[in-house]
Amino acid sequence: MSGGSARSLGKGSAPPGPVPEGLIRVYSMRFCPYAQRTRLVLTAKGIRHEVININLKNKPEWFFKKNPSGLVPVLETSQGQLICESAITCEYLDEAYPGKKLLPGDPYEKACQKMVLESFSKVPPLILKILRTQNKEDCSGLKEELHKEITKLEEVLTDKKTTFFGGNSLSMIDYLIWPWFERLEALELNECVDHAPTLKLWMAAMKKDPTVSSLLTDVKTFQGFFNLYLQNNPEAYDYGL
Amino acid sequence: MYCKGACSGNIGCDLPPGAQAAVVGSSFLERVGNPPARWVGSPKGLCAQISFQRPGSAGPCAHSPGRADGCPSLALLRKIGEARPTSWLNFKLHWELGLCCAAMSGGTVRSLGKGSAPPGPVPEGLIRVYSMRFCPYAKRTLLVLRAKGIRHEVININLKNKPEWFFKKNPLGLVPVLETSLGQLIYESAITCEYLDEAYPGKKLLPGDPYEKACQKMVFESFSKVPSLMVSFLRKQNKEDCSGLKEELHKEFSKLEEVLTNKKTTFFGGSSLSMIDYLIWPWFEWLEALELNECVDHTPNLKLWMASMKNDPIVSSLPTDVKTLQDFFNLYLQNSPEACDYGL
Repeated sequence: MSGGSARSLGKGSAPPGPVPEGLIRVYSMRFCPYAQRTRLVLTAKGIRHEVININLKNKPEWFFKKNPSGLVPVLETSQGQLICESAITCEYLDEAYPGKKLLPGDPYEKACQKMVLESFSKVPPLILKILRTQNKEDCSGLKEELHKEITKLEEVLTDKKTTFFGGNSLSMIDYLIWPWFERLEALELNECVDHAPTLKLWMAAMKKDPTVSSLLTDVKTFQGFFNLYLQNNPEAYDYGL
Repeated sequence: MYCKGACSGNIGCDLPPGAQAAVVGSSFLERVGNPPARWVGSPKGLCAQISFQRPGSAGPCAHSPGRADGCPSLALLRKIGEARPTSWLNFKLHWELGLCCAAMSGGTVRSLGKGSAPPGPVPEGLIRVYSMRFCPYAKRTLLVLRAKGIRHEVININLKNKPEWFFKKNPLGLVPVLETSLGQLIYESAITCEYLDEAYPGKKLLPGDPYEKACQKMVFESFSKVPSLMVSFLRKQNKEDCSGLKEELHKEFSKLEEVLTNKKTTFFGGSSLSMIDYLIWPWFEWLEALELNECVDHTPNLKLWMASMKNDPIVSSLPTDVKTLQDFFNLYLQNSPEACDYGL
């Protein structure tokens, strides 16, 4: 499971060799919330894996053979099979590997988790917009929208009367939405969960989870990355190394 | 061929509960034996000569068609007979489909709008889908229901005049929505389709292998720009601005063409039709109505796929007439509350 803190590979780098048997490889980026989903699932299920970080502002040419869209995360198996799209990678890992199932076996319960993911879907682009918006006025409009989306999620938790989005223990849906909540403090968006007490409790419970806390990034490091990222600086992706 | 208790035992015909009635027309018995090994001619007189036969017995039982008014199996047989199926396979298909689509055996398909009474609970043994006759997203769910032979009822919603009660089924007010007899609600078309495949027995439309399943989902993802492109195209009044949209559509179709070329199979999941084909099909039905057939001119495998899809019995059981669709588009763009019931 080493390599999570490795320098990213950029243009001109040599393509990596085949994935050794018994391992699965994830192409990632240390601060990418989508790739964090995959790493959370890999860690939660105890799957032996290696991480290759990609410099997303200076992508290696060979990386487009792994994913034509050039995005992380991408999984590569020792048979050379490639799986892209974060939610697809997570579901693949849950099905292909033994151990605790993160998705429920019951079709209706599984559908419920997917419906929650759908109602979360406006949050990532909103947060990205907020990050990129310098203008205070535009920001307050966006923060309002975020508040609305977060209220929807608060409603899900209060209706379910459970700690986590899938029940009383952590499951797939919690890992899938966590990375954006982890970034709220660094983005000074904690106020957006002020009126969502159940969600606040959920966030506290998540931070205590061994998998989540093993992959936690501190506020200062996030802010260092965000600053360089907004300046389009290719050094952003290796910040802190 | 069995009646499968289409009435759930309500009719009270003289067959013991759970018994399977062999439904045959006497014309079949005369010509081709039982069960029919091959179809001989058209079922002339089928409507008038159906009878139920107990398995293992020599001739028709005492139950006569006259006493069976209200028997859904008989009503279905009559309806199929009217359509004059041209082959035994065709007949069987309509029989199986008819048994699974409760709404087909009568009842109105007119949409429910504002002020309508909320429907009652879903009867046991059925699943309900809230739909709209021209909605491509809802069509995904209907295709899967039929492909898996799942007994279901359809309630159409007037999307230009939504009933207040519908927002309790789906706060977003969108179709399709599934409702089970336990009152469970599932929405988002792709989620409904996956739910049906998992919850019901019979042929699995999604592959069991995790990697193959992931591949279908990746194809689905690469299709994802098509629906909004086609809606944008539909909404453009001035056809001059469309060349940009057509280019983009052409690009998206080339991605799909690559998938088929690389896989070297007829369908997106392999050599037989599976979930991914049903999920993307409804938008390809729109091509002709939107005069966008040229967008598949440079994608021969995609063209062949479209032809194969049109030949699929499930797909052809839910045909879309080009003219009707075009008229629907016009009404829909004018926000007419009559749009959703056009053609009824």
